[in-house]
Amino acid sequence: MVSTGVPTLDQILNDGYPDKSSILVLGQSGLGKQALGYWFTKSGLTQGDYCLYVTHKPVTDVTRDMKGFGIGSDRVPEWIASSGSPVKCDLRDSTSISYNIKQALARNADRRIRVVTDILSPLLVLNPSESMYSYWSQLVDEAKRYDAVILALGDEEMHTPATIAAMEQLFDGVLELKLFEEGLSVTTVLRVRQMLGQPPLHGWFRFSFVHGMMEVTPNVTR
Amino acid sequence: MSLGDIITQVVEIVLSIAAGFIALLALNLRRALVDRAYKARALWTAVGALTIISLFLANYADTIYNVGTINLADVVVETTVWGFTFLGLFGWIVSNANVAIHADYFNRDALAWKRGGMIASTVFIVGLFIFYNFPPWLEPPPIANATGWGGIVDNVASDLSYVIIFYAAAVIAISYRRISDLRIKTYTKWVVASMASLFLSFVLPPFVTIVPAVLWVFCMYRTVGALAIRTRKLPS
Repeated sequence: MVSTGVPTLDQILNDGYPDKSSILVLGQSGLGKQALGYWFTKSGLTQGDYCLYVTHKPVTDVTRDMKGFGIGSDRVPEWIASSGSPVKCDLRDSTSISYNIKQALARNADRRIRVVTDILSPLLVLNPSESMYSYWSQLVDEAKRYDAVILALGDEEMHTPATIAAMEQLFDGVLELKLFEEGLSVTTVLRVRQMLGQPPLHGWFRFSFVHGMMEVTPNVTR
Repeated sequence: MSLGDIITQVVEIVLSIAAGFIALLALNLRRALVDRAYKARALWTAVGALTIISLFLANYADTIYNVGTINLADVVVETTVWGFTFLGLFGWIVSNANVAIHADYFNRDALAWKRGGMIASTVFIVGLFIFYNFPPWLEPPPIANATGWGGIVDNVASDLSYVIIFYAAAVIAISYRRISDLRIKTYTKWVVASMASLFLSFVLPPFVTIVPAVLWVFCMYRTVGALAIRTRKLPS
């Protein structure tokens, strides 16, 4: 198992994400998808894994955001970003992004690899859905040739339910984040929709960032 | 007090309660959100809603304190209320310009906002506020009042502040066209509608300003509603 970087989420998932798996994190912007990616990357860097962060944002924006979650820049992942990285992430050229990810995987074949990416939704918006299914299918299959875990972050509200359902089929695990409103109180909640090798997990968990730590607590039962 | 004044005051009190409720909703959302940029946006939305109340208070302060002898406490209260309104609204506009640019997948920096435009605008607006509210005992000698330089400085400063507000609004408008995320697009649409209502309240004659004020509160309510999608029933 590969630690998620969030101890309480590791407990829920029986020690983390499965080896050689692809995980899709769904939820609207602001709920902490990126934070899950940061903590997953941080955990990998601490354990000496090769970490690749593929983002449509500039490196400076992401590192600033990481610092906000208490993640220092003493150890950094390899970047494929829109600017500030040796290898550029150009959303208009999805083929080169895929090629660069595959090259990075091949170069680090002897190590455990963690890939975090936020380009899933932009690519689905900018390209025909059908071509993106085969694109992600190929990428996920390629990653499984190595000791790699891919964490893809997607904005559920941006796509049709049919598109989301089709994308879910490509991934071994799906985490979902939502904002739950009860009276005047609003809470971010998380559920594990599916996870390779695990029976379906029912129920929603409270997802928060308190005292410099991400926490997943079983407070929401519905 | 005429019947018109009483009606205006009642409407302002109702709108202030509504604005307080809107601010509470935004702060509740802020508490739930995890991402810092979105937390900041929720906080500034709450501040934006509270400026509705502070603008009413500032207008009252002007009416009350401009009669009779003015003392230091009056000046401090009036400056604080106007400061909160003026700087709060500007901060709200800045945060929305940042979000609009942030939401563009290609990170296109409309009108060099992130490359100095935002900082220059903020420094100017804050500087302008400090300059015009300088404590009297620290105030530099008037710039040749006799020759009319003071008036020219006032006009230039006032024109520049309008230019900056339009600059920020233009950044939001250009970025709006480039946003693919429909939710952020909807949110930005209500932000622009709120700004337009606010602008109307400044340009319309005093006896009809309550209409844009009602519009402003309504648009702010929709803005908070569009901040994030909430669900009351979690799927099983």
